[in-house]
Amino acid sequence: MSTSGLDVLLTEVGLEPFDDQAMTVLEEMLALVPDEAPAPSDELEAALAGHRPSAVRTGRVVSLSTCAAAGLLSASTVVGLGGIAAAANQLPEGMQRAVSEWSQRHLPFTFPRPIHHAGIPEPGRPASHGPGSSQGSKSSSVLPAELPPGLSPVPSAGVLRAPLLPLTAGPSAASSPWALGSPGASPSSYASLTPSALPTGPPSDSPSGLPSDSPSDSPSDSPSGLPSDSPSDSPSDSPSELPSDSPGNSPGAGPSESPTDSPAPSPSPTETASSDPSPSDGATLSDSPSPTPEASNTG
Amino acid sequence: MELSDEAAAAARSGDLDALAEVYRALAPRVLGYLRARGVEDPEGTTSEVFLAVIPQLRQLRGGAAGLSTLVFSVAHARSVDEVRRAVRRPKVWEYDSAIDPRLEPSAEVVAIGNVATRRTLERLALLSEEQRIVVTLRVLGDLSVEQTAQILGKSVGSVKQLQRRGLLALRAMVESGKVTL
Repeated sequence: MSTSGLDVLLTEVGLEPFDDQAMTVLEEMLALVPDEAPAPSDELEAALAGHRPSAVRTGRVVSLSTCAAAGLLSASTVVGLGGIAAAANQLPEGMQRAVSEWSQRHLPFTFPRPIHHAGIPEPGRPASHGPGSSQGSKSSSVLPAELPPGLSPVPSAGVLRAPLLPLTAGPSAASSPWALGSPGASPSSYASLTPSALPTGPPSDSPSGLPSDSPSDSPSDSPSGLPSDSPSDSPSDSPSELPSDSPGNSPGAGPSESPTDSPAPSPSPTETASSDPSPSDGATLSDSPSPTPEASNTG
Repeated sequence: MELSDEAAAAARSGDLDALAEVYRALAPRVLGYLRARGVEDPEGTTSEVFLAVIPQLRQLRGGAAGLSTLVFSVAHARSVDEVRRAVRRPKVWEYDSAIDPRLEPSAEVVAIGNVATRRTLERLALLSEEQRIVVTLRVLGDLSVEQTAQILGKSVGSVKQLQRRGLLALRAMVESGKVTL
């Protein structure tokens, strides 16, 4: 900047032109500017001679760094989304298994294994029945179909399923805590355990072995002598098969561990509500009207 | 050496002689600006500035003033990068009394060989960053207020205010004898 330029500058800032102190400062500052241009570098000298290698090289470096950053970003995105999908167990089966096994070996946490391998049924998909899990699932699936016609399945009453275990799974019934410890468990105990399962309707609506107006036709129709509703009912349809499935399960065949084995069982509300002239309260559920200890005691 | 519009236009068209003339006209001012900014290697950085400018000459508009604005824009950006790089990765040197600025003038000042220049650098160091940039661009770069405002991305009024405060501060330093070299 020339001296005239410095005067203009001082005027712009409101100082007097040719201010000695200000001019001294500015002139000393101008000493930073050399009289001649510095020697250009080799690369600049080549550029001044007509070559342009620097621009191409700079562009290549920028493009390489940009590509590296983009690749890193995309890779991290893929890994992140894959991890989220693996954590949610939404990967394909083989990939989910591979990720799970890899995480077990190399990571401090573990991704879940595929659902059906873990034995956990998916929502809306029935559970697979493996050899080890066949017993429980079989009993739960078969049990409602084999309920006696008069016994409605009561989901809330877990005790309902227990007395019926001998119907479906014989070997496991003995080990069941509800098997009452002896094959001679009285069916009357079922009634006392499951009062809600008692038939409350009229006898014609509940072919549960309640004594009807018509007496039993023959012992062959109901081996245990239970009066059936219809004499023409086949034994297979009759719930009187219950004792026949377990030969030793006849009423009164053995000491029952049921709390209702008391000599004078109190009738349940449903039993008293029925106007059934049953000789025994326990006989309302038992398939046999034969004299049981309960019946004989209460009769 | 003043840069003419004809030389700028010829350099834009690829004339190598005009390009060399542009370098001879602007390189000393760029070097002075980089020195005032405290760049570690002002000569090398000056070459880098022109290496970055040459590919952009095709899009140059505005004649000599536009070319000056472009060159100092690049020089300012490089100086800012240099300062940031020095802040992020400060260089560690073993102590050498020969280069201790408290005992001997710095290598830059020795290279310049002028006590007045050292005094100027110390005065500029007492200004704020923006005041220092505006004053050096105006004085050393010989740029107008508008060009300086364009380089810094500030308004003309803001540049005028910074320039006024900076020059008044420098004058006050001389009056008070704050820098006594």
